[in-house]
This record gives sequence, structure tokens and C-alpha cells, in this order.
Amino acid sequence: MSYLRLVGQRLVMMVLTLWGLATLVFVMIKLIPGDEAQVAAGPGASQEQVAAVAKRLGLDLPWPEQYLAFLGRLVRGDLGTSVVSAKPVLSELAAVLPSTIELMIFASILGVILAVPPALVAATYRGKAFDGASRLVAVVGGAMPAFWLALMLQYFLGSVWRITPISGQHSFGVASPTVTGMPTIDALLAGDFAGFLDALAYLILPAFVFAVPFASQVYRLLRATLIGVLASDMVLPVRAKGASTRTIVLRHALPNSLPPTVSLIGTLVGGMVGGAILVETVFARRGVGSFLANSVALKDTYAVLGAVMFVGVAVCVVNLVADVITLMLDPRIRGRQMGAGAR
Amino acid sequence: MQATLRPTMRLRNKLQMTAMLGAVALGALFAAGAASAADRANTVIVSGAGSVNTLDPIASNYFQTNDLTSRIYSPLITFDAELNVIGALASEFTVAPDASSIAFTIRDGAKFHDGTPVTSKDVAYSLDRVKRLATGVASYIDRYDSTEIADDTHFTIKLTKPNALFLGSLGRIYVINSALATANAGADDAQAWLAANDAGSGPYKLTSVQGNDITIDWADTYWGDKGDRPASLIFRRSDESAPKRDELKVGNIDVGRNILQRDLDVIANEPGVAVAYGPAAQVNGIYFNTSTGPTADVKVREAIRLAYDYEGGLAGIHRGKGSLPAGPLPDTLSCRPEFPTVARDIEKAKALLAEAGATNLTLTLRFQPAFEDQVQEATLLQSNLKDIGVTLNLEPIAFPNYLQMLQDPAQIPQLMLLSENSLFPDPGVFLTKTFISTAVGTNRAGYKNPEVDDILNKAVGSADATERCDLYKEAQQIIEKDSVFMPMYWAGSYVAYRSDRLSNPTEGAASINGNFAPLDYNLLKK
Repeated sequence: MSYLRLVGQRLVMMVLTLWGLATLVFVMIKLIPGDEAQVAAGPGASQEQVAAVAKRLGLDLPWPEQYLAFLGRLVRGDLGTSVVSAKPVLSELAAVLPSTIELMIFASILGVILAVPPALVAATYRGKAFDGASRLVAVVGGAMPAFWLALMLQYFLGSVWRITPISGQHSFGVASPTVTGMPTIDALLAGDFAGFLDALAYLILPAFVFAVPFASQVYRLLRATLIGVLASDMVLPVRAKGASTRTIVLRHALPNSLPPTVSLIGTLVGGMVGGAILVETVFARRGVGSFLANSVALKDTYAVLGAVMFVGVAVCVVNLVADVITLMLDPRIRGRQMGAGAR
Repeated sequence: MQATLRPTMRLRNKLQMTAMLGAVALGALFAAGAASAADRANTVIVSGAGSVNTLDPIASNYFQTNDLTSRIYSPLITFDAELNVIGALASEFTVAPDASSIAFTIRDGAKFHDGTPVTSKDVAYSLDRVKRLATGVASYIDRYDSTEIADDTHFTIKLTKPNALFLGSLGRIYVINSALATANAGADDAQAWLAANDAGSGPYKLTSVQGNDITIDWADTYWGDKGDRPASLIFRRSDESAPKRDELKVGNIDVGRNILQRDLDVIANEPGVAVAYGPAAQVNGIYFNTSTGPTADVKVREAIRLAYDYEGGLAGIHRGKGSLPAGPLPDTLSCRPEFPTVARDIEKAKALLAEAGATNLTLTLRFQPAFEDQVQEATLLQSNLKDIGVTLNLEPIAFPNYLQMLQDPAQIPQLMLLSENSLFPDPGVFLTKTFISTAVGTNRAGYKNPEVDDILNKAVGSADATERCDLYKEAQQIIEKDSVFMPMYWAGSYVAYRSDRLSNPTEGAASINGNFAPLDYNLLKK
């Protein structure tokens, strides 16, 4: 079986997963009590006004018809219209999406930086002081509630010591013209390096809140895997040949420890989109998370569906990429998935 | 046994170099974070909770939208600090004796932000559009019929039925530049276009929407005086209370709204920060389902009203901010008869329950858990009702669900805890929407009393303000006697602001939550 066929199989599974997700979310949102037409018409609307709005938005149709219309639009790439803002959900998502992607990328990089070097050192010096201390930090970091951590960081770093911004996405008067919707990239495109650094400064605390639990899990898995590989018979002949510590750890142990770590990172990055609801709210950042939270509160059906579909696509794509990387890194998994002769 | 491996010196040096570069980069980041522009001195940053989903003025029934649209657009009329109707875009207005039409004259020099004059055609377009779309503020003018244009500055609004409340309701109907809206109408009557574009004639024009910041700048086309108002206003969404507290403390924002009382206590004594308290046009309380179940019995309702520890709740939950109510209307509204202040009387409550034959009573209170004070009020009432032998179950509810339940009186919660805001200074709007039996969907108690219906209908059709006021008082006496609503507090509202930059924004404000007219933010004179 070729890579192409394997990826094709995964794509088919992805489409089926997204269809299932769309159906599940549609049914769930319809089961939640509350009338979207009433929300759109306003709290003081008369019954006649609510009925007129329901008719205009197609909310007076039976559920199956609404569902089929939704799927039909979805296939055409149309996520519907927000009943609250009357704007196309796709354009609303396009406006908030880049900000979330920027945060996720930065948080993932920060998480890897926080996790991988300590895991390498801890596994190398197993049982020593650094190993014990870093394990303790990882456990504490993993157990720390993100909400509490965010508020503490804002209070001490932003308010008391004033070394980081507290909330928002840029300082007053520093914002560059919107091109991509990612303040850091937009600043670079505008040739505004100070603006880039400013936007980066506003990313630090929210990214750190994401990165702490992320790094905690990656650290623990990578350390444990590295220790297993370093203790395996595979390392003995390498050491017998006189290979340096760096060579043994970086060239032999690390590549053999990466596949499960990459899978975990894929899962964690996908999960970040859900966590964005909390982080974006606390740090007053625009993004898919705060958009979704607002849409759920207002029972804005198509906005919720659109945002959830995006989260679903993001999780599926990230996991697909992680699977492909794992296959490329580990010939044993490649052999199992693609047949013994596959390369 | 696991062998311990030693990293080489080269690897260690590389790590050190990386750490140094990282430190330098971080230093640069934090230095950049301190950058600011020179015109900050002429900008006021207002941070509040809630998403501004659209800037289409039809959605001005949402507070956070109205806070912006009321500055970008102009209504025909507005209210002064004494709650009198005064002209905004209109220089003159006359209500017909039978309250079935209102004649207007547009003020000289009224212009949209693109420099074109505001005309009768724009007013007609704006009102017709609200009627066509039937959403948002449409419920405020549901008796609107048509606009008869005499010339560019004179027109008459015709109503389907006489309605003396209509004039005041125009305070939230904003006039749109019809040429711009028509040119960008699309298939949705310009809803998508107006969501992010400006077609107004208000004191500020929309400049940018970036991230969570919406910036509006002073419009030179505005007919009014700028005074000490800032050149720019930035409205920033920030839902959590603690970050706003901290941003206000360090001076990154100038006004903080929706900050919790506990956070206000933290910053109240910070230099350069002040908290202003003022009238809120808001009453917190409980609506009973008067149409069905145990609460259909007026004695049960009265007993519950007598069981609550109002003073304890005001001191403990609201930290003494606000006051104990007397009657169903917010204290900022006029035409309220003299009522005794709410008070607890356990023995009388028990006696009323005995008279009603309500033993081992179990009731359910619905509340919105997103509001911290509601959770505490619900818990306090639950505890208080135990003292008179009533078991109270507490069930959270989302507001859209509640609105749906109001469509059927049988589905209305037995007890519903709410913060009621009066959007208009005329008490008739509040009374008519809430207590008239035909107002299905807004009659929160499922209340049906033909006598009250007659009185309120008569008031709606009367253009005589004195007669209307007397009728409102009469209706409130009956509503109070029927114990339809259990007022718990007249809320004390507040706004936190940088007192080293701004004058007190509540001075001269009829309502601190900006229901009747937006709060004015004025820079201190240098």
C-alpha cells in the first residue's frame, strides 16, 4: 500500500468523522431548549415578529429539512448565516481563525521548547537532581488549573511587576493593517519589526498557559520513552563503538522515542482549539474559542455549527499530519500499516 | 542498571548560547510592549464584557451594541438627565392629540458622516427597514405603520393604533444613511454591510475594528458641541473581571465596566482610580407564575415575599450598594405610588401559607448561574423559605430557554430570578410589556388581570402625561396587591474609571448603565 492510498483512506475516514460530528452537533443544538428565532427577534419581540424571523431564517422548517439544507450548504462550503449578526458564518470564522492559529502555533513551539530539552537532560541524568526537580515541575504544571494560572500570571507579571502585557493583542497605536489576521505576521508584512515584537509580547502569557500542560505531558512521555530506549540493547553496540553522549542521545535514542511523542503532540494540538475558549476569554483575545463561547450563549445555531466543524477539521487534519509523520519516522509502524515491503 | 550519560561541553555551550539569545529576545519583547502612541492622551479606552456581534443599529437592543451605535448613529429624540424627551436629530416634534401620529422637523445642519444631509427619506427608510426585518429593536415600535414625508425636513410618523409610548421608544431607533444602505443592500437589507460599516450621523464615526477593539473617532460633521470629549474612543471586549481590574490599575484602559464588586474593592483605593455609583434603572427580583401551580395563589406569593431576608441580602450579597425597593418599578422611573419598603415577616408568612392550605410546599426557582449575585440570592431565598416550611429547588436556566418558556403561560417557571432593566424612562413601557395579559412572550408572570389590562390600554392611548401617570400608579397598586413580582433590590450600578484622566462619567447621567442615553466620557481639563 502506498502513502497516497493510506492518506486517501484517512481522508475518507475524516469526511465520515466530520459528517458524524455535524449530525451530532446539529441534533444536540436543536435539543438544547431555547428558540433561535426568539433570540434573533429580541427579548421583547411579539409572537408575530418571532414567527416572521423564523420564516425568514428558515427556522420554521421541520428539523430534517433544516438538517438537509445545512448539509447541502456544508458541501458547497457555506456554513450558513449567523442569526445574531446576520453575517455569513464563514466570513466571521475567517476573521477570528488566524488569531487562534497564531496562538496555537506559538503555544506549540513554546510547549516543545519547554518539554524536549528538559526531557533529554532528565533521561540522560536519570535519578539525579535535575531529573527529580523537572519531574516535580512537570507534575505541578500538569495539575495546575489553566484558569488560575492565567489569572496569577496576569496579576503578578502584568499588574504587579509590569513586565508583560495583561490582556489584548497589541499595545495602543501599535497595530499593523490587517492582512492575515495574525498580528505578528501582519506586522512583519508591514515591515514593522517593533509591531512584531509587540504582538509577540502579547502572545507570551496566553501561549504559556497553553504550553504548560502541553509541555508537562510531552515531557513525561518523552522522558519515559527515552529512558526505555537508552536502557535497551540497541544502545550497547553504539556505546561500545565509542559514540559520544550527544550522538547516543540525539542520533539514536531521540529518533526512536519520537513516534509516540509526535502522536501525543498531534492530539494535544487538536485539543488546544477547545482550550482556546478559556484562554481567549481570559486574555481578551479574538479567536475561534471566544467566538464559539459567544455563539453557544446566544444559541446562534449556524455559528456554533460552523465553529464546531472548524474544530473538527482542525483536530482531524492535525491528527492526520501526526500520523503521517509517525509513519515516516518509524519503519515498524510503517510496516504494520502499509505491508512488510513498504518503505 | 541504567547507565548515566554525560553531555559534551559543546552541547552545554550551545544550550547556554540559546538561553542568552532567548533572554535578549524576551527583553526586546517586553520593551516593545511598553510602546505607545502620542495620541493616547486624546483617546479613552472603555473595556466591558460581551461581544459586539454587529454594528447594525437594528441590534441596539443589546447593551454592548447600543453603547456603540448610540455614538455612531443619532436617534430622532433622546432624554435629558431629568428623563424628559428632548430632540436629537429632531428639532421639533408634536404628538397628535389622539396619540396616533407624531409630526417631526429635522434640525438644521444634521449631516451623515459622508457629509450628506439627514432627510425625511432617511428616517422613513430606517423605520421601514426595522419593520421589514422585525428583529432587534423592532419590538419597541411594533405599532409603527408608515412615514408620511412632507419635504426634506418635515415628516409625520403614522401608527397602527394610538400609542403614547411610541415617542420615547424612538430613543433607540437610529437613523441610517439610506443612500449608503440601499447601495449595499445585498440580499439581506444591508444587514451584513451595516454589521461592520458606518452609515450614521452621530458624534463619532467608525474608524476600525481590529481584534477585540472597535475604534470610533470624533465626527466633524456632527451638529453638537465636542466639549471635553476625547478625539477617539476605543471599546474593548474583555469578559473576565480580574484582567480589567489590573488593566485599569496600570492605566491601559480608562473605563472598566462589568467589574465584580470584589475586584472593585481591590482597586478602589489605587491612586488615579475611582469607582462611581449611580442610578441603574434596574430592579432585581423574582417573577411568580401567576397562572398555574402553587404560585397561582396570591397568598403563597405574598408568603414568599415576606420570607426573604432583604436587608441581609443587600448587605451580604450586594455589599450595601443599592437600596431596598418599594414597588415593582426601578426607582429611577417616575409615576410610582408610595409603597412600603420590602421587609421580612416570618410569622405573617407562615400564617398566609396556613390560610392558603399550602403545607409541605415544594417549589422551583430558575436562575442564571452566569450571574454570581443570582446564585447567592437564590441560595439565600432557599435558606429563608426553609424557615416557613417551603422546600425550594434551584434550577439554572439559559436566557434563550427562558424566553421560549414565556411563550406558554403553563411553561413559565414557578419562580424566576431576574435583573430587570428599564430601557426607556417612561414607566408605561415597562408596565405594558411586563404585566399586560396580551403581551405573550414578555409577560413574565403569565399575569392576567382585566382591570390592569384596561388601565394600561387606556394609558397607552392617552396623550395626556398627567392622566397617564395617574393610570400607571393605579395599575401598580393592583400589581403590588396581587404580588405578581417580588422586588428584592434597586440595584446600585457602578463604573470604574481613571480619575486622573476623566471626569466622573456618571455626572448628569439619567442612568449609569446607559439605558436612556450613553454615558459621556470627558477628559479632565488640563
